[in-house]
Amino acid sequence: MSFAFQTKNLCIGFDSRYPILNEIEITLNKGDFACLLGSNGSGKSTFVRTISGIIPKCCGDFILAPDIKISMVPQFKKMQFQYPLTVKEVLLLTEKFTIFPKKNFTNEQSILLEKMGIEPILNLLVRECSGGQLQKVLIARSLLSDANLIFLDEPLDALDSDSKNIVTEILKKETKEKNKTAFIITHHIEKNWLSEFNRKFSVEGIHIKELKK
Amino acid sequence: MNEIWKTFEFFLPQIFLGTVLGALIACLGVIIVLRKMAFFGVTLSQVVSSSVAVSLFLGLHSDFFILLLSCLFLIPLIMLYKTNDSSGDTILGIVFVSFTAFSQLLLNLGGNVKNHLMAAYFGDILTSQVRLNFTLISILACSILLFVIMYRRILFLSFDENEFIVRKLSPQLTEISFYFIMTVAISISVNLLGSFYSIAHLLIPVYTGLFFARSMRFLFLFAIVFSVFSTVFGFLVSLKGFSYNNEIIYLPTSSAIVVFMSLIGFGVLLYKKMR
Repeated sequence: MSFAFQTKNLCIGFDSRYPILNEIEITLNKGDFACLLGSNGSGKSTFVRTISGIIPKCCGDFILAPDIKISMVPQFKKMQFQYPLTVKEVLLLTEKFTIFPKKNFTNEQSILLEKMGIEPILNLLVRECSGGQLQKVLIARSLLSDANLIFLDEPLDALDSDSKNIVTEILKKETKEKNKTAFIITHHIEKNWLSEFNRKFSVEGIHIKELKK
Repeated sequence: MNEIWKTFEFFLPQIFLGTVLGALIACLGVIIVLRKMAFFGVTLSQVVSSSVAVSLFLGLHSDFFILLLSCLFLIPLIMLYKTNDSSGDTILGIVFVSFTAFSQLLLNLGGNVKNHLMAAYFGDILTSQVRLNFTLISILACSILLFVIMYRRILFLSFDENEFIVRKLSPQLTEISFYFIMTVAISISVNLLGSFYSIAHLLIPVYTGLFFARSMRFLFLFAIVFSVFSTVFGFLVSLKGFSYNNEIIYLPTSSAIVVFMSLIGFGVLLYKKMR
């Protein structure tokens, strides 16, 4: 199985003298459906933001597979709500950058949107969406893109239990069938949901450790 | 009425210039307002006014020189703005007053201060010569084309900067293109029509449109229509003389346009707040 990303003695943080997390050794493979658990402020988000290239690493190294394309599902609270963008516009914004972009979804994309319950809200402005709806839109945006490594930052917090199950199923299916990698970071996870993941990691002190099954 | 129409025809080139530039600036304003960069736009227009002052002082009053100078001033301005996240607005405020004072000092040394400053701030479409030369038209056309080509990238970057970086879509290049387009458009507009006219078109149509907008396309269309309508209406008002103290007074065109736009903008705000 080929890897999606690999870290080697990586340390992360905003000041190399005081790293938030140190000596991180993780290898995530293509097709992995993984989660990273940790309390608030433990450095989970900083870790994925470092791997994604948003903030620089302190020391050590990480390698991304050459064909890897990353997408990140942020916490919906951090989005720009003043934009008069409809859900459809947000989803199509990430399509190829041509002067005349495509205006509709493919059949496969429409099926995914229907499953996620996004079809009825396509013409709603993003600022009119509820927290849960917006969270689903952001997840769908990543799934519709050509990204094959998806980081999801607290993606299920705003979702009800039905939506949580549907989204988890879709993510699992996408990773399995399309050989994508999904990496969810969260501060809280229910015990029965934990079994959905084939890889589980946890922040312990200033290290990330893999949890045994 | 006939007389107004005849005068209107006489000033047609100026009206055309004011309308087209106003509409273009209003389109650019969509991104500036949504990115909450209004103060940056205002400061940039002041920097351009200072470039006019420098060019007048040096006796090199060419549009191209002013554009070049504005671009040069812009580099440290962006660096200051970008590297001071928490105090970006404060930096802009300091730059704004510094450049305003600097312009006045230079123009004072150059003589005929009042007229130059008034022209730089308020402009006057009626008296402005339609002096767009070929070089300037080419630069403006290139920047508009660049905006059309880069629009979706700029929108994506503005809406979700992190995702844009994550997807390795060259944020620096997109950002530089955006600032370049903004500088060119504002430089030409300020140079020809004055800084207040440009700021008004940059901010007011979009601000008003945001109350109704249900899509980006609507916002662009609204901004263009609002800008064109206000320019033409302001023009007509300024062409009609008003009797005041037994004298016929003609209102300055740019100011009439700006006041008309502001009245509509605040009117809509008031209406929305009262509902």
